[in-house]
Amino acid sequence: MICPGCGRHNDSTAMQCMYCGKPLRQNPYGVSPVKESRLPSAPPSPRPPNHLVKAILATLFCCLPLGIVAIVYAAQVNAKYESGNYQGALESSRQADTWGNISIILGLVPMALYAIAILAGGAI
Amino acid sequence: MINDRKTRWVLVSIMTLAAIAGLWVLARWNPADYSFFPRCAFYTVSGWHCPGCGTQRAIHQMLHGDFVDAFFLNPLATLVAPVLACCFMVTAVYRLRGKTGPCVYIRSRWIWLLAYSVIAFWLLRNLPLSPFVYFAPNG
Repeated sequence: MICPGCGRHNDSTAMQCMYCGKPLRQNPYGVSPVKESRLPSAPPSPRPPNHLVKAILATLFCCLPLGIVAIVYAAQVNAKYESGNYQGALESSRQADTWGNISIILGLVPMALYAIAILAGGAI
Repeated sequence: MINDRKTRWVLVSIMTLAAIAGLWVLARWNPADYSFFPRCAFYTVSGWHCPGCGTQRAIHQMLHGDFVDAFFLNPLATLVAPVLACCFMVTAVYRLRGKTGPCVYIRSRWIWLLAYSVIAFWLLRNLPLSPFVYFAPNG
């Protein structure tokens, strides 16, 4: 880093010129570097829903291994969110939702038809 | 979407009434004795128990206060049921107060544990070996 005061070369991490003492870091906020590190960066992204309750209900009531797929995606949502991978968490959230819905439709529709058939048969 | 106060109350009321109605049916008639309860399609086709087999019978036993019988019908459902009940109530209050988005956060390591447990439970309850037959609904 070249000192703007005396023009001599300094180490790139130097806070001030080792020859003339002029501060080398121009701070646009006018605060000390310690406080600068605490300045807020981007606002926190909202946490994507992981649809875990739907996944568990699908696993317990829909009698298909597909609910487990939804649970795995639900775990991925929170794991990716915790590691800061927001886009990945959003994608896993969509997958968890989709697999939960597929599981519920494939599981519950035949069961509902079965229950209706039994009730109708008993009524006749 | 759910900004309107009246809509929120109607939605939460419908969900609550549906849950109460379902639980009332499961409490009133024992699924082990009545045929109109839906049967597991996976078990009917394959003869293997799925992770959810025994859940309806377990809920019946839980609603009658018999958590030990419920545990032997489906340990997974018996352990998860209180958590789901809490989640349902917390979410209902959260939605009634007009907040959107997820409100219960479970760290990913616990969800991974749940996923591995469900897979292990599914495999183990189909083993015809001594400790594992108790994981099957009729073991």
